[in-house]
Amino acid sequence: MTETILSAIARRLGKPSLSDNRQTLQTRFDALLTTASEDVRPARDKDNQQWFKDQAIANLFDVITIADFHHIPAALQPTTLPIVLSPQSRIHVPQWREAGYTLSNDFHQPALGVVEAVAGIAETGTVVVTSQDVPSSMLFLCEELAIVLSTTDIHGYQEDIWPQIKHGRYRAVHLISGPSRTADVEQTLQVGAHGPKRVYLMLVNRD
Amino acid sequence: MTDSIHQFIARSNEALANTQLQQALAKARPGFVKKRQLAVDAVDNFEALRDKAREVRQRSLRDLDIYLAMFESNVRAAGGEVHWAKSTADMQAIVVDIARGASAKTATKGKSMVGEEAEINAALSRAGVTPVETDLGEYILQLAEEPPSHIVAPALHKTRQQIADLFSAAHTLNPRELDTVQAIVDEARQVIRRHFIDADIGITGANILIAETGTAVLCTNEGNGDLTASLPQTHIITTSIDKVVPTWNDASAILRVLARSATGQSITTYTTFYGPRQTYDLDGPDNFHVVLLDNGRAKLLGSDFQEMLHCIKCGACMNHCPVYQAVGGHSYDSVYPGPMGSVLTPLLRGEPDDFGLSQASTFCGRCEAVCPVKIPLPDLLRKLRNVATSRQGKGLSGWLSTLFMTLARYPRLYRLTTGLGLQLVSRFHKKATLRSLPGLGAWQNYRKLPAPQNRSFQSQWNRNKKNRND
Repeated sequence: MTETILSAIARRLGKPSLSDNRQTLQTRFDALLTTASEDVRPARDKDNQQWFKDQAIANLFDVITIADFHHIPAALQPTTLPIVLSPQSRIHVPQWREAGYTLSNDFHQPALGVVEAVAGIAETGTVVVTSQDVPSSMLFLCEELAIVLSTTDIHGYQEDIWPQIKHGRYRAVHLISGPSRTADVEQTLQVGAHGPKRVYLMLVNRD
Repeated sequence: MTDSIHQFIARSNEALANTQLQQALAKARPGFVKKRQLAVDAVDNFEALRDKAREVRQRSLRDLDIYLAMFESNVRAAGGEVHWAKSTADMQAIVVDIARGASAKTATKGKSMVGEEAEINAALSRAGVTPVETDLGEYILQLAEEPPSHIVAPALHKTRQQIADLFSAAHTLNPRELDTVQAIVDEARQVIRRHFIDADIGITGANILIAETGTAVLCTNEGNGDLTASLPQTHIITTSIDKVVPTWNDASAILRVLARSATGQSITTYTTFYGPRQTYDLDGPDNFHVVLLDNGRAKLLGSDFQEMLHCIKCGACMNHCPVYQAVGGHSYDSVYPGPMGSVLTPLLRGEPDDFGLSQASTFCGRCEAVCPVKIPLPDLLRKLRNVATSRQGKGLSGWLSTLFMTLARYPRLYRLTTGLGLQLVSRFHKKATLRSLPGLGAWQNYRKLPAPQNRSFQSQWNRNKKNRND
């Protein structure tokens, strides 16, 4: 079946059928990459951090700037939801228990999940989380989510982070741009569809 | 006018008389257009972004064989499977086969127009697997047992009250009010949540495939696509052969115009890059399958209609189409409505009636003006009209056009014939307007044609010129 569709495509394009040799394929693919035109990006009229913050607010993130990871628990709005921490060491601070929060491992029940992003993209106010740092299901099952990002990890454009991301062999690279939402009922925007209803974006200012 | 357009006209007449549909369309109409314009205005180089996206689509198709082979090779190298479906029947068989292999009883589904095209739900049900749509719009339509009417907002034709009634009838919950959008969305969240957790397989579409790493990009706002892709033991992606681009940078070029054109966002809330699960991943399905549908797409390569494969399924053309806005998506009787559907449906499905869809256009050109990859939709529709004419014969309008073209080639004959015609009309018709002319019945239901004066413009010009010279 593979040959049938691929051969039909090659024939329609006026080309001979491809050989099965992986190395030959890679060589031809690499040669084609040189034919791409320059990337085109929206212009940047402010520094990345301010741009990121403006875009994140427009995406309905609750943006909070803190000086250190230890300040995360105190910076959250008081909540009765249990706290579920992703297995990233920098967010496992002693202040959680000191602030009186209940810590849990069960994000299938209503919980506030706390995770750390690997990067931020200023262009669209987006944070990037990988499936090797955070369980994907946690990002979507938690009732509320706090995504922690160091300001030194904010970049301008998607293309700036692809070199560090694309060959990471992750099952999933999640680009998250605000809380879950839908407009499927009469085109009315409603926040909190299937994913988190509220998403804190906690910027750890490392400058 | 071809015979096949009559089916569209009949459905359109029903749509125009459907009060609830007209209410729903009136609510949707301004929103999409305004939101897109705001998003376009928010960047200073949207035209350049469109040109870049178009260049990516052109380049992707030019060497589609290599990019698809690379995609397949990279998915396999990472531990996933790629399946090739020549027809929708093949896609059904492949998906059912995977479901059986997983001993699946239930399947959650994210929105996939290719899945709709292949009628995957019907195939799963026949195989004893219960499909549950999880995109809110698609879930509403599953309850209503209706097809989508829009490729981005599938339940656009439903009013809030209709949705509330569907939920009240389908969900065995305590008495509650469903009088707000929030109440409806909260109930869907509550009901669908357990399906996410219980499902044996999850089936999603893909917005983009990336050759260089064997990655599938999924864009959603609700998060349902990611829950579908992440919780079950098996993730199946139903998509088509035209979705592949070479690199991640190329995917970025498409993403920059996709959400802006579709919903007026700079990016969808969730944009996820998926591949097979690896050793260090913390969760996710053990099995990853991509099913690639051809169903007539390959034969468009190298044809007059190749540019239709540029389409990134944003829905902007239908959002700006005066015909779609008036009659809604179901009038097109296809998974793909609006201008892009009027081109794609006859090319992919190719039933005799489908070719009449090329008549469902005012040729105002807005579809081409807003298309993020600059598909010349009016031009493609014109070409399809030619195909329809050659398939079905000219009809009255065709013969009249031929007659006009013949006369126009011989100015003296033209002047003589039109002059005689004018004199005849002015002699026997004394009113200022013509209310009914043969062959223009429907057109004249809403319009009056001014009666011609007894002399043509040219004859008056010549007479005045003579007077001036005197």
